[in-house]
Amino acid sequence: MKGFVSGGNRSISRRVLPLALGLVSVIALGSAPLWLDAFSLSFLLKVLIWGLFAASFDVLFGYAGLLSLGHSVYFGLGAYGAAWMTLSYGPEVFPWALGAGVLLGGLAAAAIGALAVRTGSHGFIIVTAVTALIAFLGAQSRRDLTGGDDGLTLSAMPLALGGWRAGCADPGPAYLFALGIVLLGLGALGTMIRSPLGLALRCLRENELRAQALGYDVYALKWLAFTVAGLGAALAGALYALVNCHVSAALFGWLVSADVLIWTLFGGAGTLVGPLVGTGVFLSLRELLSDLWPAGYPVLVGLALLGIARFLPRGLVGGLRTRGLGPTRKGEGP
Amino acid sequence: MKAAVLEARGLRKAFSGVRAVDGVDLALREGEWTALIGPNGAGKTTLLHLLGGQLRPDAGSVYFQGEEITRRPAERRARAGLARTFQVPALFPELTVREHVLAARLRGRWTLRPVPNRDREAVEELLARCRLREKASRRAEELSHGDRRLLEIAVALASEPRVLLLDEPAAGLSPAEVDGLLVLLRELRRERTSLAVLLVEHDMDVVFELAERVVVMHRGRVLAEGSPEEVHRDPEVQAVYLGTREL
Amino acid sequence: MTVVLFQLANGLVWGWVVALVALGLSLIYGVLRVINVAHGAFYMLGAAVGVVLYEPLQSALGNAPGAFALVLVLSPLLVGAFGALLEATALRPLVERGRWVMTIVTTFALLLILQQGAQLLLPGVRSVPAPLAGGVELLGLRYPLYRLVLAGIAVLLIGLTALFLYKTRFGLWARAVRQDRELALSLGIPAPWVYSGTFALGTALAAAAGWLTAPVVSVDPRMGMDILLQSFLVVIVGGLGSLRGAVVAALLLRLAEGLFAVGFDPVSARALALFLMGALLLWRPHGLFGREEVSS
Repeated sequence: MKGFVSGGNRSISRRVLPLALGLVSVIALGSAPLWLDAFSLSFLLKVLIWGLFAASFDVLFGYAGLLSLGHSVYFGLGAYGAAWMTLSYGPEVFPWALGAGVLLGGLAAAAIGALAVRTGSHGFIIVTAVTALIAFLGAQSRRDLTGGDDGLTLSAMPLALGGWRAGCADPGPAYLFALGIVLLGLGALGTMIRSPLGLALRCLRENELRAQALGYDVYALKWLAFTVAGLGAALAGALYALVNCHVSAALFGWLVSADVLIWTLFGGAGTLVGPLVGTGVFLSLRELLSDLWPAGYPVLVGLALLGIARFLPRGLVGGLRTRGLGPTRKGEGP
Repeated sequence: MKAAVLEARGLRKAFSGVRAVDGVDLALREGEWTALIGPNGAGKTTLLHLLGGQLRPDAGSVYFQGEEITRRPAERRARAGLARTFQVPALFPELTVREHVLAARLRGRWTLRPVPNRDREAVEELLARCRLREKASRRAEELSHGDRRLLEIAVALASEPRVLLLDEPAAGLSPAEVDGLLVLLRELRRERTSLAVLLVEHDMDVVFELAERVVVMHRGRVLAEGSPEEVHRDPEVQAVYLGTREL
Repeated sequence: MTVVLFQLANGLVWGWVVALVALGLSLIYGVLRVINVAHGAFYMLGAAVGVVLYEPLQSALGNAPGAFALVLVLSPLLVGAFGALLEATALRPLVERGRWVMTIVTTFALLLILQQGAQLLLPGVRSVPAPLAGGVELLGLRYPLYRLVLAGIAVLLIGLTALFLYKTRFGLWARAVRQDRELALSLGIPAPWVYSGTFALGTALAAAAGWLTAPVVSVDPRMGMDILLQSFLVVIVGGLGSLRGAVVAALLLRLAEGLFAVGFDPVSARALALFLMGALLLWRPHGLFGREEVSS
């Protein structure tokens, strides 16, 4: 934990406290199979995977200040990359399937990012929305490859710890495997955010022209942020496919891009912990609602987005942090 | 005479027909402080934008240490050692004072490795030098106007530039704050002897104290050039400049 | 030869439809600086409202073309009024405070609510019979009459919008806000009127296009996605905020797709047309008629 930003003469507790909290969470998460039933464990795993997805989105939105309406594309490509690999070569190759998903999503992000960041800040949003639409409509029209709305079903990863076997409904040891990957991904994103690169991204978010006058290459930095975010999303997507044993064209849909936006906004953009909290809250809500009124969930997400945009633009964590600290900044955007 | 570090030849820039900069030649030499004065709308800030790379000229060229940089983007000029401040303090509202100076100190380098101790120490030293040490953990949006001006200068100095373009550093400051600024700039002049400075300023006390050479712009052209005394005596300058603004 | 002609005619017809939708999108962006992600949902809404109104009106009037034309007036009016209401309640507070990112989040939310709302209220796929049967003989090609009428109405609506923008006081205001918002507001132009009016106009154009195409496509809650994709694309390829650019790019996109459709299957033709647009954007990142944002 080389938090240079907090360096200087801050008190020790400011540095030790997060470390201790992190350690406790990792221990709690690691020992979760001992004290959680299969259903809860499976749910917790979902929160972790989607949380990684939200954290990757936040690198782009909360840190670099770029709003993407098509982050679902890279999650979906990661998931399908892993699914296709598994279906072609069997579930034994799951580490390769993971790599294939990350590679597919990462390459797509690198290519689309190169175009999107050149079109200006308003053009960026439109290009990301267009890519999301292309991916969704493409996935719908090539049912032979994607399975359309019905999707593709995979077999579970052949992981076993003694007599403890991984399954699709009960992740079992797959939980530990996925937890390790998620922590690795979150650790990588966290390291990046605390490094000089993270500072450069925040400069970019705050004032592009000024960042340029300090010597920062705006296009290269935006492209890098887009690609890293795409890689993180693809990693989450590939894990999702392997753990969930099922992928469908709906992964490319608006709802997934809206979901990640609401999780991040609700938790607080630019905090990395915030998106994880937001993911947990909203997945629990969806779980509750899935029994009562499943078709209502997208409407609820829409209404929640409306409310947050209007009344809580800095999210829960961000809103608490800045409460009573003078006026908020005038425009969040460029 | 020392060689020019930054040189402009025949620079022109028009905005929808209005010629903001209309054929300007200018040379900044190592260790020399040049003041750029002129009435409002003379094209001073546009000239600074052309030198800094924020705008591209319609004609003419810019040379930095003998190399042509006319088409080079702003970030590459900054990395080569060309720093500038902005007339309206253009900062990063949500970043702390320390983060500003550090970001400038890194000069556009973005790595994953932690910041070397040498750079951190240099940042603390500069913060102390610019009287910003106590405010190092404050966000820029919380600073007073005067402190923002100081931070602008700290940010510009942090990259250890060869050329420094200062766009009205004293604008909007109280007399006491101007005195504080002068102390800082005097120190800078004494200690960084190879730095070439272009100072755009309306406050003539500041100009006369700091600049060895004064360039007067009027309607996009250079009207006069010389030592402060020469320029002060120039009848053309008096006619144009003193007519609109008191020296 | 007839295949080429048929595809070109189709491209032209659809080009004008996309231009009509994109015109509204571009107008809203130009005046409010809002990227209306829900624009496709208003297109869908135009068709859905039309489906609801058409049956009873037809039995009341006993005349299909008359009922169709009446719906063509009513549906955009209703959707436009609804759009103005949404603008005034959800968007304007954010526009006035300059919360630009949040305006996009808001239209994104509206997209979800409208699309899912339609899914709940009017599920399934519906079709609307063409109000005009028959075809037209054109260089040995028989082309459906209704599609030509459809293109003609689209052109007419685009022309009327241009007239409205250049000949009326409201149009003058809207163009003034588009050019320089601060200056326009300081001159006393009633901003709330301009914002609501523009949003109503933009969404009404989308709704008109939605009802016009209802007899050609199938009406379902997802029908706005494809048209949103195309209008986003042509707005950005034409140059953000350029009305002329959007129309030109729309014709270009659909004519190119029509030509590609001569030699390839529809999905590949669409993919090729999209690649062409992507290449155009790489060549000119700020669009065909766009200007680079001034950076200082």
